[in-house]
Amino acid sequence: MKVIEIKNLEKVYDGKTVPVHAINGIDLTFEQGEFAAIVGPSGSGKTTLLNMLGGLDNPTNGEIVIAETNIGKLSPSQMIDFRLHNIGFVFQAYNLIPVLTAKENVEFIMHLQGKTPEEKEKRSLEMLKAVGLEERANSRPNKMSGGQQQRVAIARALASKPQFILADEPTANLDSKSTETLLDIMEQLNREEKTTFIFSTHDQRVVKKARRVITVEDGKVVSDTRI
Amino acid sequence: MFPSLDVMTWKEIQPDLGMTVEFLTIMLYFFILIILLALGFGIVNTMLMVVLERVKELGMLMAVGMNKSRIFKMIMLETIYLSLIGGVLGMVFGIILISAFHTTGINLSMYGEGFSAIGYESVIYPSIGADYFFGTLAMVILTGIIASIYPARKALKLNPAEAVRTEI
Repeated sequence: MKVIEIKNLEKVYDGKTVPVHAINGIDLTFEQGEFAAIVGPSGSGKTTLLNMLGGLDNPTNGEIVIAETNIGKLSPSQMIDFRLHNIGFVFQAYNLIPVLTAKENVEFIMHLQGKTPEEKEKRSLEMLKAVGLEERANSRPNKMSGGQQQRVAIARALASKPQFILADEPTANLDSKSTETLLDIMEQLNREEKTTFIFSTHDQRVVKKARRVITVEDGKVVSDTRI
Repeated sequence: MFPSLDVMTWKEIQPDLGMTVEFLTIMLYFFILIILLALGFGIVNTMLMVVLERVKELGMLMAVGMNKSRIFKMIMLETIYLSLIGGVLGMVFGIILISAFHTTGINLSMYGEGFSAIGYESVIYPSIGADYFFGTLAMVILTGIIASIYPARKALKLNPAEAVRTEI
């Protein structure tokens, strides 16, 4: 089943003197359950591509269809609601809410979705267990290591049952051991929950774990290999 | 009944004193206005810092799907709580101060020998009415609400994609 369909995507930023072509006609499809890495040098357009996939930025041309919805046709407020129910985000700097505990952080998006307290409780504990942090459920982010915080962030993104998860350089701030643990957890959840993971990375260890590697250069896909 | 008696209010007896008192009341309102204005700027300043310090967090909230009205409400509520806590603390402090001086009195005889000459006591026993008290609280909260609009709008203008990457 197709989760994402990108057709002839273009993004041009109005530079002060010359327009910047960040994305130059990308066509891509993601099936459900993929574990795909987007790689490429800095300035290649990875982040712009991810931002547009996440509905955080609008394409200049082309369209993105997610779960049969053309997100370019959504109004800004519909887009916010669409993100809430369909897209999971994992950020490079974890971005947990510092005043909430791990469990409350995991429950947060479900809270926005209007889930009942029982559902939130059940799902958050299940997700914390899946990322191996059930005993840290009541810890605040500042009492956890970077790797643990990122695991909470993954639990938070998955708890709301999105169509797919976008992770922009999820391991950039982590040491090699935490990176490995995190990737193992991501892979395991990808298999168990059948959730599509799309992540951008510079890290070769992360690329090796991916089952599909998409290389972007100068705003174009230069290679797309399935392993 | 008493044809030889003439009934007059104190303002009629001493119109100059009445005028002074009214003038002081107007002055007092001006003082309150200035204090509320300072309070308003203080709140705007504090809440702008709150928004700027939490750009990353706000960006994340917007990215994951917290809608604008919720974010606006969140900042508004924080401001109202802030001014409520400050307001209530101020009121408690005020009550303690007023009730302490209500029994001991404030002796002004060293400054104002003239007070007794115009019919004023030289020792003042302050007291405050509930209407004045809650009126002030209402004004503080109102100031808080008005002052929170600008920081809250500032938060809404953030671009989530950029905000989540902000390094502070």
